[in-house]
Amino acid sequence: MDAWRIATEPYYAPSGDECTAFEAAYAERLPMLLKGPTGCGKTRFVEHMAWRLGKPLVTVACNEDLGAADLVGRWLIDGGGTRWQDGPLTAAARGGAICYLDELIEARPDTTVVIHPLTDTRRVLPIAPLNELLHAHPDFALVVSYNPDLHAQGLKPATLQRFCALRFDHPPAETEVAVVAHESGASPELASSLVALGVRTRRLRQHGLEDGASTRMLVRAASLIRRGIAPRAACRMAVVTPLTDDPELQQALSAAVDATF
Amino acid sequence: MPTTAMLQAWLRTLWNIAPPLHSVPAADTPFLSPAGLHLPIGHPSDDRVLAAAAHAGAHLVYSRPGATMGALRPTSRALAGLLEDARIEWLAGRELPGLRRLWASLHTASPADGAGAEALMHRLARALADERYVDPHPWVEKGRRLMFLDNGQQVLALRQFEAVRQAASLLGNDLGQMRLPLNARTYRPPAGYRDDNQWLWAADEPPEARAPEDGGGAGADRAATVMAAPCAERIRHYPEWDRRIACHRPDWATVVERVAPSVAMVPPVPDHTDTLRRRLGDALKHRHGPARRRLRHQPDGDGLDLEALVRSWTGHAAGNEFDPRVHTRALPQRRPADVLLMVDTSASSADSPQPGAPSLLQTARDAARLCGEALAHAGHGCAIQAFCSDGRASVHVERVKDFGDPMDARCAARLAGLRSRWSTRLGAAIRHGTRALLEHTASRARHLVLITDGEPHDIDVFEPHYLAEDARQAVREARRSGVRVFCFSLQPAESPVLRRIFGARQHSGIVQARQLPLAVARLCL
Repeated sequence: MDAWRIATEPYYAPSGDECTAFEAAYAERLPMLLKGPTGCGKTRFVEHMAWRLGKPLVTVACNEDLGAADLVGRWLIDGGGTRWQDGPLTAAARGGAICYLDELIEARPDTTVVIHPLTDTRRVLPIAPLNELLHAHPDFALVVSYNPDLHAQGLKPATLQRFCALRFDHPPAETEVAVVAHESGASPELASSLVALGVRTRRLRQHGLEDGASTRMLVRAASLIRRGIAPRAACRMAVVTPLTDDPELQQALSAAVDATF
Repeated sequence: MPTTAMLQAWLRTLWNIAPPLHSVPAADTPFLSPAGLHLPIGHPSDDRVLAAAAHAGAHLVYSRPGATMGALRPTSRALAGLLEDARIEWLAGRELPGLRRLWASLHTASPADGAGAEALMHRLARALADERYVDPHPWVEKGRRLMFLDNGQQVLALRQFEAVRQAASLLGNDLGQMRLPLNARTYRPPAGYRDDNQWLWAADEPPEARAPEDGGGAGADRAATVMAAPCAERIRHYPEWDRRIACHRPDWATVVERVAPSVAMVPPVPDHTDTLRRRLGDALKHRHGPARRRLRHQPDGDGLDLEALVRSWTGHAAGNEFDPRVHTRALPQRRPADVLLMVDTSASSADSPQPGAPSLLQTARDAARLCGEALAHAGHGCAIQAFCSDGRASVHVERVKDFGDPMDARCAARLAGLRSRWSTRLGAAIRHGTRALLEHTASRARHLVLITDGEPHDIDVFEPHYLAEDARQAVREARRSGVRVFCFSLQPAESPVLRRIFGARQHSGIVQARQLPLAVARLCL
């Protein structure tokens, strides 16, 4: 499990008391659900907390092909017969790590059911193919994230009710300026121009864009500018072009970049 | 080339405003009105269009309309407008420096234009917009000093409109003393992108009503002109089920099919539909769960294919090479489907569920348009038709969109051209729709969706259950031939008749727009 430990402190600028809240929830080993838009710092927050608590962190980015077997484990063939390979969830539950399932809702429905027995007082993981009932390590904790804006149907109530939840949003402008400046080394002026641009793109959420520019995109734009790319070109590369394929929105965002710099 | 949608998105990013945009001819001066911004959207110069949109948007953000004119003479009034333009551009440029650059690039006035009143005003406008422009004329210099406290044009002196008005009065007097008259009737604002500033003075003197050039807005429906549709008709006969004799009456109903007429002006889709669009997309995306295929005999996958494994091991034990294809893999199965939406346009669809709400037909139009877009987006084929009947000899079907047509402005115009009239002969419509689906595709899944506000009735039928039973029979026949039939109901409460025709799980209410994703999800595409 030591390979999963985080050696240096991941930078995280708290927007409120989410760190204390998370620590309290971890002390009780309550499963946590992080809700919020893409790129607003959910993953970084989990990394920061894992570092702070000194626990290994196993992260699984869920996609629509991810099934229960991908989390729990499966039989593999090797020279002399079959061999069981623990999946990331099983490994975390055995070894006492924090298991972070990023964008859980993307995974296939059978996946959410697998985590149910781990998220109540039983804290067990039945591994049917192995005929084993795995009792989770005392340090094990489960954290999942999802972006409710993108999914009309949401997670099943039976799943949601097992979690305590923290709501994340894009940080307030001053915090975001500090984050962009810290992560990219950009000047405060440049960082605030970029954050103003980010706020502008988020106005198109619900109006054609699934989501506005994330803090991560702004950090990348700032890094490109520091590498000597002109601000407008950097913003097109890091923000406008990735955000949308719609030619009219591209044009509008591009014009907004031109207006900003 | 900036389009209306692009400009709308741009204004929203800049200031979070969403004024309706209308197009005026490229050579005209833009103007603002309570109906929105009227911009030369088709102008060949992109910068000119962008500058006009940003300038008009800045007015909405920083100017207050309805200033009283007081004793201002026409020259001073034009000057007040000019200074106000400079003031709002300065305020906007402070936050968005790129806009200042854009505006400044369009000012071309120079001493070479002469020293008439209009030329001087245009030179002043340029001086105020571009701090690097040097103008030798003392009047221009005076205007610059009145506007800004410093030479670099970093500190604004005229912070309020009242100060703007006083400065305009001073500058206007100077023009008078220089004996430079301004012809206020022929005066055009500088640089081509600026609006006429009538909007600023609306409280005193309402400008003569100017109708939007391209429609939209409140009066669109009244002003809508129905363009002549090509009248290629196709006539089809269908049997009808008579429940009393329990058999079909052959060739009983006659369907006349033609292309739906379109209106010249299409009312814009309401704003809230973006969320709805996404939810519709989700409904179509996430409803493919159970339809999975499990592939056996795979080189890798989720689980072991025990049969293949045993075979491989026995083969291996017998001295053959071990066959590694011993896994199973699940593949999501998404068959593209063809969906025909049939909108009921009988007379009752002109009603509204409650006073003030849009008519049922409007709800049906929006639903058809949104579903059409969502289906096309999800990779399904979609066609839209409308139906109504005037006795069994003339059941009218209007084709709004054929399979393969894009869901574009033409379809929107045809949808907007649908009118409520006559009755609902559901059975004939279902048979016609079924036939259209069967003729169009052979291999794909076929869905017929009826968007209807009520129960079947027609002027030549007096027996209460006759048409409902015929419709039920038509649904049964359609399902037997492999077409799935579903009903989106515009009735506020569940209708026992629709339930009997379509089945309990095959109809879904869509009176509220937000019910639409659920209804679409129930289609189980």
